[in-house]
Amino acid sequence: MKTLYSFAWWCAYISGALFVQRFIPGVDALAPGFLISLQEENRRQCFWLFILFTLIQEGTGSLLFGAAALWYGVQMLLFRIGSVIFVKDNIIFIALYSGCLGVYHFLLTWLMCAVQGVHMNFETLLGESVIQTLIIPLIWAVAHIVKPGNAAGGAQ
Amino acid sequence: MFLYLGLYTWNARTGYLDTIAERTGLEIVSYMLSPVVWVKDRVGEWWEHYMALVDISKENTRLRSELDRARAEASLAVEDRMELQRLRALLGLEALRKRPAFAARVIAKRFGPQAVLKTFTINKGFLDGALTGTPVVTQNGVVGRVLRASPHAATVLMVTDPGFRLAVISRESRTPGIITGSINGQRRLEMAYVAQNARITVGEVLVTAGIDSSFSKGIPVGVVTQVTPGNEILFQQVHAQAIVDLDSVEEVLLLMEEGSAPPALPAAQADDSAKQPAGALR
Repeated sequence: MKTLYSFAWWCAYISGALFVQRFIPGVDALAPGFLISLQEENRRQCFWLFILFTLIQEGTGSLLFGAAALWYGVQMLLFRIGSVIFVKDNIIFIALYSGCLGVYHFLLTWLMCAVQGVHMNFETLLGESVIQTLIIPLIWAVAHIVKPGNAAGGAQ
Repeated sequence: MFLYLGLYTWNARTGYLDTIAERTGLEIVSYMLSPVVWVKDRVGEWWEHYMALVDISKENTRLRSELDRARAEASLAVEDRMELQRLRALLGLEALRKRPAFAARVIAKRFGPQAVLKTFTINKGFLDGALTGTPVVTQNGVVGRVLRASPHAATVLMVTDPGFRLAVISRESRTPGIITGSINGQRRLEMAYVAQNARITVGEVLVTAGIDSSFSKGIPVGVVTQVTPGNEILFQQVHAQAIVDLDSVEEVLLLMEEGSAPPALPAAQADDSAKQPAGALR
């Protein structure tokens, strides 16, 4: 029952995140969900979400396969490093994590475009990186509050 | 890291992982976005037609609701008529007289963080006939080409992307060239390889040259906005504006190979399409 409930919650979250992505081009609204999953320390769930999110972002993207895998891979690494220093659902940690991901979004996209010979507007990329930085804590906060078991006791 | 680089290089050579991602990720998004878009449309209509009337006094409720219903019906009728006009115009395009084509709806634009190219997603995939490289147009002119396709969704590369290339010819002076998109500006195009002695002028319409066999000859692509003689190069610098406003595109038409049959519609949809020409959209 709990697994089914969790499955339904993630389906709802992914639908909502895809809806957000539809209206804000160039940003990843699934990343805050991945952060929530990392905070729950459910390895099996993280693995499946990693596969699913990578396939979604790679499938809808226009670069060669690899950028999304690196994107979510580094998120896991950042979380591991961050959780050693900070409490994992502390607001300062979330803010720093979002800031790092914003910078990383810019660097990764720029690197992948350079490697694959794709032209990208610098200003557009910069704007999207800023939006990416802002959107992570926002979606994370909403999802964290809405997700059953998180509102009262914090991340499990 | 070695594993990642190995996979990346292997995929760059073979494209297997790209294919898997296309056929799963794009498909998942298509299935998840379609109902979300449908709900959004219905909620939008509900909000527009009913919520605005909440604060009206009780005496006027019956009359107002009747008026609202009438307005809603009229609004829907206007929307239907406009869609019908657009699709009729699509069917009237010269290229369609020569080639079979089918319509698709735009469901998202530049979707996700990896969508660095100027692209949009449509609700037709390779099972519907939207194969990679399929030309995409509207009644006004060229929109782009199918870049990637899953069974029921596809990503279209817009004509304004710097990576897009298309052989064109100017309508009056018959100056040939290659059109490419530009990083700067939403509708800006650049026409390359225009000879120094070519008599191309501002305001001329650029149409497809029909050389590459994917686009039929004569489909409008852009309008020349600036012509500058190249000082130290062999060619003139020609700038143009895309003829289609790609920000407001809602429906597009995919041109199929000459001689091929348009994709078959499901039975229920075929019934609808018999009643009205706009039935090809879903």
